[in-house]
Amino acid sequence: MMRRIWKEFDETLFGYGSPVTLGLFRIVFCALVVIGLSLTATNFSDVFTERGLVPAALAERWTNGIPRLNVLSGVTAAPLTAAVIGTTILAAFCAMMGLGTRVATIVMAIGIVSLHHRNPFILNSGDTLMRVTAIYLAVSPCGRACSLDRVIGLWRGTAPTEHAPISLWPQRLIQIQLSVVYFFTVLLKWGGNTWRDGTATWYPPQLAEFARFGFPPFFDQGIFLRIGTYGTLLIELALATLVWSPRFRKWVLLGGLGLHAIIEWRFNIPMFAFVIVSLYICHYEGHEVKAWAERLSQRFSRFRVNVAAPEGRKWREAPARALTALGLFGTVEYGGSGNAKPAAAWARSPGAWLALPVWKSLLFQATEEAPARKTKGRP
Amino acid sequence: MQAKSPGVNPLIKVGFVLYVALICLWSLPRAPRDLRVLASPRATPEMRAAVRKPTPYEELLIANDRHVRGGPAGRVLLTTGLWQYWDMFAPNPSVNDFWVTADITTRSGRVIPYEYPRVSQVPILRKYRSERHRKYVERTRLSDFSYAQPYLANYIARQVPFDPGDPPSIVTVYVHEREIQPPGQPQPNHEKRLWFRRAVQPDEVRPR
Repeated sequence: MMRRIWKEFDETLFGYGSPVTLGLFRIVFCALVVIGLSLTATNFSDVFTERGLVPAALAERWTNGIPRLNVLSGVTAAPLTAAVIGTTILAAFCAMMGLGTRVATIVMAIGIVSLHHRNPFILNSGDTLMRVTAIYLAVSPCGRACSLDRVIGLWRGTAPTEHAPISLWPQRLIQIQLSVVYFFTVLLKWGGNTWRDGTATWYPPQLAEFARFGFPPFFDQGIFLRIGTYGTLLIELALATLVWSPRFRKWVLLGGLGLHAIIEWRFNIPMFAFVIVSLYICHYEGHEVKAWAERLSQRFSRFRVNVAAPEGRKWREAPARALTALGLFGTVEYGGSGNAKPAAAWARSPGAWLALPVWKSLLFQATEEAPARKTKGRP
Repeated sequence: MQAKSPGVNPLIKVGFVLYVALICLWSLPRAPRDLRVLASPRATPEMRAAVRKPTPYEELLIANDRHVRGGPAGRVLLTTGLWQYWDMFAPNPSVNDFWVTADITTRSGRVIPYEYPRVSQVPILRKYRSERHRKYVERTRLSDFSYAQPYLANYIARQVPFDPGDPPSIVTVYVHEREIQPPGQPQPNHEKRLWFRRAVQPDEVRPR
């Protein structure tokens, strides 16, 4: 009995599976990091310089003498601080694209931790979640799928055609982190009298300096107030517990999406809702995400095009596979003879948009001289 | 549909389990303020005798504060950036609605009024940006962070144009606040209260 439980526990936490979920999550999460850090950078002078709210000496005082990972420790030169922010945003962008993913995610994590230790006074829970998740991504093989690294590997013939399975413990860690967030916020809230008496959701919208868009007034009165307060606790508790059951997962996550949509609409908490909701992706297995993409692919089948090689040339197998991987939901195929639509090839390949200046050259390099035989069309 | 595991390094497994346990302990509520002295290794028997007897749950929180938050494992979280708090709207949502203004008194006695950035006064696209300012004040108003006041005073003094021959000498910071009352009760107006007053040095507030 114990052995069976241990085996199930071991396989759940440390089993192997598809890297697609982590790849997709990496893209979404790193895009949010780029946006979040860029927004913070618009406050650069106030937030990170000696003439702002938190000079380096104040940040040092906050550490209470405990050493912190902070490449900006003791740095008072604004250009150097700006360079660290710029490097972190660039690393997050590369991580989003999956280019040099391992190095990019490590640089991104070090950058975020350093910036948070440089000014901890302005952080909210969304920032905290962003920081710890960036660290988890840095230790995960999140570049194995949905990445330019994989496309380059396919081009060179060094990456396997099918995704090689990875140990899923980093994905499980992100899932557990999400449960920790929700469980402990419920535990802490249960210690407050306004959550127990069902009036807690009355207060935040009354804070003029915190509220954003309005809601119909009846929403903050009578029975609706209690539904809002107890509903928040129930949804958060479910997001910590029931979400692990495949039977309830979809409904619990939909409840979470609704809850955070309301929080984002009503309150001004930079990036919090977007970051926490992005972690929901990790509650789906790679094969589920892949099956979803395949279903979409079938739905988009009428947009499918086949790009033929130019006359006198033929597609090289590995590069053609790499180019196909740049496409969205398999809408572009390379290799067969058919209608040649090179413009459609890049337009339907989001992964190729950065390579537009060299797109024609890439297409050409993906072909080789063919034995004398006519093919239709040209790229 | 997981493939058969070729095996994760046992050290990673042990580290994983310990780490999850650690962040769970770290995320527990802190001991009540009046009992925190019991978590301090420097607390004398007299100091311990002066506080009330904790409940078993409070004993657990005190032990957690002392051995996890204050121990080597807690320091690892602090150093690496893995520290975390999940007290969103907890234990109760904030009931304090506030904004900040200041009077900057120059050496000659001239008073220059200043309004600290207010989220409610900026267009929607700038609200995210202003929230960082609001959060800073919300945090530095806590007694634990009162050491930030001189830095805020310097910042405020730098925000207004002044004659280099007549630099700011004193910054008086006010909080306009009101406490939100429970639903159905009349809501008070904001009241202006003195937060703190600080002398500032001319070399700290040179114009931009």
